[in-house]
Amino acid sequence: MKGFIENVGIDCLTATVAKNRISMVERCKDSIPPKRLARLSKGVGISYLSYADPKICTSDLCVEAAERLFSNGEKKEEIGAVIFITQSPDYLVPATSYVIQHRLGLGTDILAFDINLGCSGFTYGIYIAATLLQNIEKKVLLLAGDVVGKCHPAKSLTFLPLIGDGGSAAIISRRSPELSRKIFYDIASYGDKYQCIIAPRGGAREEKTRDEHGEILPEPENYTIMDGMEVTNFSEYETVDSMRSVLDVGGLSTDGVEIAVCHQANLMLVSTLAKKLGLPSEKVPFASGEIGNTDSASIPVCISELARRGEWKPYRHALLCGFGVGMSVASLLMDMSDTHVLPTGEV
Amino acid sequence: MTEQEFIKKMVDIMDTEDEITMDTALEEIEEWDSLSHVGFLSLCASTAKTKVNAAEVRKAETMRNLYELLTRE
Repeated sequence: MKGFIENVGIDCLTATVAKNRISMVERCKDSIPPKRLARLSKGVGISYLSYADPKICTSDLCVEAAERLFSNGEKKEEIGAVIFITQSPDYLVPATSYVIQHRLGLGTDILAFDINLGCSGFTYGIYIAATLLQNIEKKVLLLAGDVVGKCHPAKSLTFLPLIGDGGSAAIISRRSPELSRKIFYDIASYGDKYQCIIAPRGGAREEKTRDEHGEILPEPENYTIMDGMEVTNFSEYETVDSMRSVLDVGGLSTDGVEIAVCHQANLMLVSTLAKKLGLPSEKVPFASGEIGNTDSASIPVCISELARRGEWKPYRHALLCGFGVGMSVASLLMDMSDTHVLPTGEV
Repeated sequence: MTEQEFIKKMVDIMDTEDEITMDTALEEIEEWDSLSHVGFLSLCASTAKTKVNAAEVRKAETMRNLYELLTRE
């Protein structure tokens, strides 16, 4: 599906990661031989990973990010909806968005719900927030992220070298029609590829296997597993098609793109996307080398890291692309020249 | 891309010290692992004229098979 939504924009956004960082090499040294580890480190472009204390949940990082937005002038009474996008909720029941509503002290005249999505979550969420704003006069608080570093078994090589913990917060609101603001979108879902990234056990379909003491067995199916080749394949083709499509819908040539913030999967992938799009690497930043791939928080993390380094500019033609679990891809082309970006925070 | 350029690229991707020719069997290269698979797919994505699928890469047995995937019209 593709099209545009009028008179909506992102007021402000930021991301929060763990103060605690662990070296990728240190984390994987017991499970990957040194030579392979060196190749891996070079390829993924990640040297440190944000690794939250075991007591910290995704919601804690998102709440910290949101509180900074409110300290910076946003008003809690203006929020009419809170959306929490994660694969690591506080509880299975109820949805964590209600817990967050309470913690932030938001009013009761509010819509709250969770969305189960990973790497495409932020751009998906902006689209959903923008559609809600056709009907809600107040603003939408969008929170997205994951704390999953502790959820993978010690020897899981698929994720351990890549995954960092992060949460983000953004406030989306209406714009005056005189500004003629449009968010162009291209969203596609590929349910036939649902097994590419999957946690097979622990839901209603299949239970996790445990030993006689009730401890979860270290079998891959008890955790999230990924078919790296299929996911790479998907990311290098369907994702690029989606970004080209959104540029087409927006009537913008590739040269007109001022910045393309892609999901920060890893350096190799982001570089390939830049090459395929025909954009110089400076316009397709990878700014997660000291944080890791933070799932649905990774686009805000990239933006807030650029802000922290003083490199974020008021871009009028920003291309954002989230892609991953589902499989799913959501690309947006939007004006971010009036989006206030706060530098990355830490918990 | 010539065969020579291809071999040089692949040696870079795999970071191997083995002697590699077009007829080298992939299973004999220790570094032809998941990381190299992904590296090869990325090479295809940025240079090949056709889409190369993960399943096709899994089926490849020799370096020549990979070269054929990369350069097919």
